[in-house]
Amino acid sequence: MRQRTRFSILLAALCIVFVVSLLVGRYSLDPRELFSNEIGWNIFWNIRMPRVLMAALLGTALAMSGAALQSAFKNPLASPEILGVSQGAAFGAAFAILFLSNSSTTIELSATAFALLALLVTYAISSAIGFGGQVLRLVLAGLAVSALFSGGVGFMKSIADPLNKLPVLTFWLLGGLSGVVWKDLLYALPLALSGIAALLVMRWRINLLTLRDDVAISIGSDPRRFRPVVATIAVIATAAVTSVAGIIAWMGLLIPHAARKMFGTDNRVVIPASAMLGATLMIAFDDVARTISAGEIPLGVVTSLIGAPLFMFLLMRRGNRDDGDKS
Amino acid sequence: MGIKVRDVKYGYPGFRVDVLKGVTLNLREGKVTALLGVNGSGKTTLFKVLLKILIPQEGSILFGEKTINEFSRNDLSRIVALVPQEEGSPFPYTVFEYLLMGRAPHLGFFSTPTKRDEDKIVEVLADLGISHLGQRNVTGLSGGEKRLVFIARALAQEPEILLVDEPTAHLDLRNKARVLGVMREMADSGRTVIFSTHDPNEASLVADEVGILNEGKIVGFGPPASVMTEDALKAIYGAEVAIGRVKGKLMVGLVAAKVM
Repeated sequence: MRQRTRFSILLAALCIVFVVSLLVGRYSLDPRELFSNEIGWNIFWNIRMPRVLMAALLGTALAMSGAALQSAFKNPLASPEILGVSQGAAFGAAFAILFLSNSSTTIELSATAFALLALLVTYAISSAIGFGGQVLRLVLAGLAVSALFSGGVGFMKSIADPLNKLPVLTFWLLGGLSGVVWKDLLYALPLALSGIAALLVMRWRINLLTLRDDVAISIGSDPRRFRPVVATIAVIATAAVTSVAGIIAWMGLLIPHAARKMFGTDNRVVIPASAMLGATLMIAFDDVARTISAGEIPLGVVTSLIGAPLFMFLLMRRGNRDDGDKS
Repeated sequence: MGIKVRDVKYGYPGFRVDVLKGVTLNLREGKVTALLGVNGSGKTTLFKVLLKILIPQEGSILFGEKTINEFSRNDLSRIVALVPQEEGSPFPYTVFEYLLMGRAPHLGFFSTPTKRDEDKIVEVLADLGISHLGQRNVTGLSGGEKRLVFIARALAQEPEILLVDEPTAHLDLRNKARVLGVMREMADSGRTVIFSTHDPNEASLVADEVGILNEGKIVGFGPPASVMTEDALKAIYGAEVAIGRVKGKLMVGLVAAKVM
């Protein structure tokens, strides 16, 4: 019952943040004149609505993917960054901007493809490392793959045409939702929503991935097959939103931790709670990004500035649970 | 349901030495069988073979009348359950949530546990006398509590056969007695219990039959008193041991602080 109350509060917060976000901005909207004022309606429907919905989708996809990846790899620190997925997506986008075309579809497809490639390479390397446990091998492999793709991005930045390519590249790499229109949202929607739906229906079974592998096999759930399935779904959802918004750091790592602090460990609750918390916070962070100064601050900068200290706080606030968790 | 293991050979891919070199065992229904052996004798590998995690290169395994290959992984998980020594999950699930995972064999891929599954967990907890642990975190339990919770998770599968990996490692005497007692009860209620150990005293205390595993071979199989002889134990442990009887129970002890 207490958990249901907390869920209701979370849902209420999401609704309030959603509605308020549609009204705030540099052009102040008066709800009573919404339908009579043409400029107001245009801003409300064609600018703010897709942007706020995209922020919600972005937060949901990143937070749920983070929660799923953490369980899948039995690693509370697993996230798209650790696995090299974000850097792979960034590399794909940079590659597209420089060598293919500036069209958003090309950028998005290339980012998705390279994010999946990064996961595959990380997974392959981690299986080939001849020492250490699975968690360690994965982190090491992710580190190497991240470094490789980051190096690639750095190289492309250094050779990019400073007049027309570099600014596009830099802005995409910083991450943000400025200029998001219905078309962008509709591109990300099918893949992101499919991933979200798949993770939601499998959310209880994802718990089984945290068991010892031989125990999981003995209860009929072979992690050698199920783990790659969950990880791939999470990466596709992440890549779909990342290709629109750029790298938005910290959310995939931070939100599931916060959800666990509030709701416990069971993914039946943690995954939907992460989704709601992620949507709410991402909308709020994007409000900050677009309203706090005259120019727009990239969303990735806001999430890092708020997310990193929040994460440190979460890490240090131990001892409120009798869990003996020393990791 | 009993298990018949016939001439099973297994070697890890890429290594020339076989870990199991032709193991034959008849594990009987309703009995406790101890697999006695030193570390590296092949006990864990044999468990993995029985769980179909490893596929032996030679030999056959029968569960009842059917060979292991006739069972899908899910079928097998409703018959055989593993009780591990340690779990090592970094996530602090409550005992209740952890035990619910043991219901997976009875649930469809996209299903989540129902009231029926929760009732089963309540029942298992009560049977083992650990209902008070239900809302504790698995990561915060003591060694003895953990072992009972692992047994409970296996029982949640409603298996006919329990494979218990070194059930009393790192436990004090009271918790040892409790865990071994639970295993005895499981067998008396009709299940087949197989446990691995390197302590001959545990084998003599609860096992109906002992299989001595040495370097991948069964070098003795039968009731404890007939297979656990001083010569046999000296041979596998490489130490000076003596066997006596205390209150009718076989007791094995070291009699020299040096290896042979």
